Amino acid sequence: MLKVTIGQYYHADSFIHKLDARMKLLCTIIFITVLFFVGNFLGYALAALYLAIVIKISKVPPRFLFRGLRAIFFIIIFTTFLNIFFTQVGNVVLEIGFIRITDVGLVNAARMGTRLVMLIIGSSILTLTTTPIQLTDAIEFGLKPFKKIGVPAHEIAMMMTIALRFIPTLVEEMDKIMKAQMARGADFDTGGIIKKARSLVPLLVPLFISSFRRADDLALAMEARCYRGDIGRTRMKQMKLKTRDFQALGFLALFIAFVVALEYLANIWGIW
Amino acid sequence: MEHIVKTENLVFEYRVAIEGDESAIETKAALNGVDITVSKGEFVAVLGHNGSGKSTLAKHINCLLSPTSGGMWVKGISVTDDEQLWDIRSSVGMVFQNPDNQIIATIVEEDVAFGPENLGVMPAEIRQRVDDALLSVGMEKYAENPPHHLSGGQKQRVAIAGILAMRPDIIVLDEPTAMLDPIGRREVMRVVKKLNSEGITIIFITHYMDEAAQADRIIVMEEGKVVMEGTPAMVFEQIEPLKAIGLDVPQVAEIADGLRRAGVALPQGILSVEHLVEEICRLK
Repeated sequence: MLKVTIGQYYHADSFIHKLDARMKLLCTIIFITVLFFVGNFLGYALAALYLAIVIKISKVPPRFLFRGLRAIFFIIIFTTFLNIFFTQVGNVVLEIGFIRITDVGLVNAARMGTRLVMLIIGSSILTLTTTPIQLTDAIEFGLKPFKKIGVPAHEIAMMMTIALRFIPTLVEEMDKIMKAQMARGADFDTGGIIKKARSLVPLLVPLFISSFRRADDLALAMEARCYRGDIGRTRMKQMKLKTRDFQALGFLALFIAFVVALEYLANIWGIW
Repeated sequence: MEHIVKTENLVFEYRVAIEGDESAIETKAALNGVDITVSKGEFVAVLGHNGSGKSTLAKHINCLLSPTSGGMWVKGISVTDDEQLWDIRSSVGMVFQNPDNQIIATIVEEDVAFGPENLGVMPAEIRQRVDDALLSVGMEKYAENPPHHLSGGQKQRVAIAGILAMRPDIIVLDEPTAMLDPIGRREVMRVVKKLNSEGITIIFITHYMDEAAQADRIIVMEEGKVVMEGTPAMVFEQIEPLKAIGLDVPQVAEIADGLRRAGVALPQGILSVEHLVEEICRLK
């Protein structure tokens, strides 16, 4: 059987893990927003320090965070080079043929790269320390104000829950179909990328058909259990903000205060 | 005794397109004049092979389908009364065949809480109901586990717990053991009998004769009609008529029948191995 981990939750008993998912989501959004306002490198150093402290408290081994980075490594490199080659203002540092690299370009590239890296690490901390179900609840809560303008907050959350619930079931089923076809001589391992992709078709068709059947059954079971959207619905687990949630928010506020102060000082002293 | 489920000349028709001719639509009757009554606290088994209409009947009890004609009353409320739909649904729980396709949440206790959450029960009360329900089906140790790590029998017990947490009067089980191994089947049967002894009315659809033999009463369906009805002993005496509609009798009943035909003086209505052994020992 294939091993399935849903999301990338890392189980540990830490202050960050215990925080209310809504607070973590809010703090992550604020942190990312702040990253884009920070202009000078002292600010980035401060943000890095902040992240380091949070990672330390969260008890998540740093290698898990870098794993998230590896996935978007290409995007980071690409953005960085784009900034280096296409910024044409400022003093020319190097000129080879049509390539002209300027000091402003280098600074911009470094700035963008740092931002992206920290953005990914920041959001990875959220997903590593929050179970998918908690995250779903937090998203539902966060979307609630937008219900008035027609955002189906409850439905989105319910869809995410069901998707999470069925990922392992479908992976198991895929494994079964694959083995059944391999037993009858199907070949999934050899050939080029096109041949491999084509061999997936007979896998996906039965999988799709069975998912529709499952969806039908599930809808019936939900209806039988009196589900009718979020009309008159209560929740067993109430989300409650505790002292630690406000401590976390306070810590973030402190960080922002430092960043703003630094930005202000940097303007006076004229450093970037 | 008080009737909790009652049908009168219940008919359910559906339309199917005829293969090869796109404009032609044929009307088929899945239920063709069903008259049954179920008393409060009874354990009724419904037998019949595929397409006999037994699942369709089950879906009517929970208002998942509504009758084409005829009447059906659950706790005295007509199922055609749309305003009372949620009253009926909250007092009739349904367990389906595929254990994987009826669990909604990613954690066992969250799934059990789904029903009472839909009913708008207060959080503290839900907690209590969930704990009680899991204890009742013997799954309390798995409260915080993800459902996909459970066995089929365990998943079905979770599904039953999810129904119990809604505090229903009736539980309809639509072939709940069809996809389970013998151990899982036994687990589910044990829970069902326990709940029945606690006063919940059970309507149990199955095609396992051994399971039907444990009910108070058996209803046999064929082509949308009730063709036989009575205690297990009475129904399983009719070996020939049952075989004629493609159903078997429990192995023990068949052996007892064979012995009787061979001239061994055994009484009627033997449905368990213990009973058969007892009767054989009594012979001279």
